[in-house]
Amino acid sequence: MKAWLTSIFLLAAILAGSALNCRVMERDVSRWQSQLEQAESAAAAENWSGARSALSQSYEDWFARQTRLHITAEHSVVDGADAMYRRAAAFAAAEEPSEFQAELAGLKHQLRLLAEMEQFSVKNVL
Amino acid sequence: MSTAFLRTVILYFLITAGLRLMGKRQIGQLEPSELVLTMMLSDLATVPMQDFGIPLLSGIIPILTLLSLSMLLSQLSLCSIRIRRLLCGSPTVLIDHGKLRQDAMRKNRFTIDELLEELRGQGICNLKDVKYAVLENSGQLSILPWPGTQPPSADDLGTKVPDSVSLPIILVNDGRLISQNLEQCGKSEEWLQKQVRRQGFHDYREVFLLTLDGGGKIDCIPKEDAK
Repeated sequence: MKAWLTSIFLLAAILAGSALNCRVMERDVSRWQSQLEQAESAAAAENWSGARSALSQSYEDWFARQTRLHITAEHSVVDGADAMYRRAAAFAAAEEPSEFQAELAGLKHQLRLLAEMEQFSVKNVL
Repeated sequence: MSTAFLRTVILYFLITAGLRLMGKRQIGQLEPSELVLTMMLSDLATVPMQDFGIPLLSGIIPILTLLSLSMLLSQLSLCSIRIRRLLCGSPTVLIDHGKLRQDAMRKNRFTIDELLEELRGQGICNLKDVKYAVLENSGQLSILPWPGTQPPSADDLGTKVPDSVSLPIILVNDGRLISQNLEQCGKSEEWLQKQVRRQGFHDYREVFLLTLDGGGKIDCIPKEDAK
């Protein structure tokens, strides 16, 4: 009976942990994306200090979750997104609107990939 | 480098614990599901050990999942014969009462050359000497020769043989007292010290191995540096 319970508990714990990780990742990605959209709108309105501030806030939030991201997600995807954040910050500092918008679009897509990788979906499973 | 070291240590202990949970059988005696599990575990462990680009967790989670599933299925196979047959298969009789069952051999893709090789491996050169040959789930062939081809036992000859076989219990192992075994024999440490002194030692720490059998016979091997 004990072996039954241990294995069932372990399987349930793994499944619950995976589901929780998926939810947390979706919530974080959605927050980062909305922060990036704020930066995008500020840049479109030529408000570069607002764009830099929104981007910096998003980066700080992203950076604070690096340990968890490196434990749960593929490092290449996390490192790729980190490099995109830094490039976007450089374009914001140089006030380059087209490059900034292009980099933010790429970054948002990379973040979406990060959340998508953790989703329970037929596409991912198969 | 330190990442590789720590990951290897973690995965080594995880796999060792997992294989310990699987039981005491050796690789050659594994059931098909256990063999698959062993192969998958070793492969899953080596990938995160070498590739730092993937999280350790992506190796640990499949390993834990496989071990849990394996434990669950072995519990299920204990409860249901049908599940046990599904998971482990069932033994196949290849020779029944000396008759070769060619359909069973074909079904198990077992050639006559392999059968003869197995028989030779067990000291049998002629198929006619075999009464039963059973292909076990582990892939091993169990052979039962005709009684007429085997040497007679004491029972066959009607000879009474005194039952002198008993399992020796280890009381001292490399100078260390096995208290649990001593209690099981109903003996005390004082009794042991007395026996050790009778063997010519001052203390059981000078003894490499001391066993006591059911007949009360003590066998004692000294440590090489003792005496």
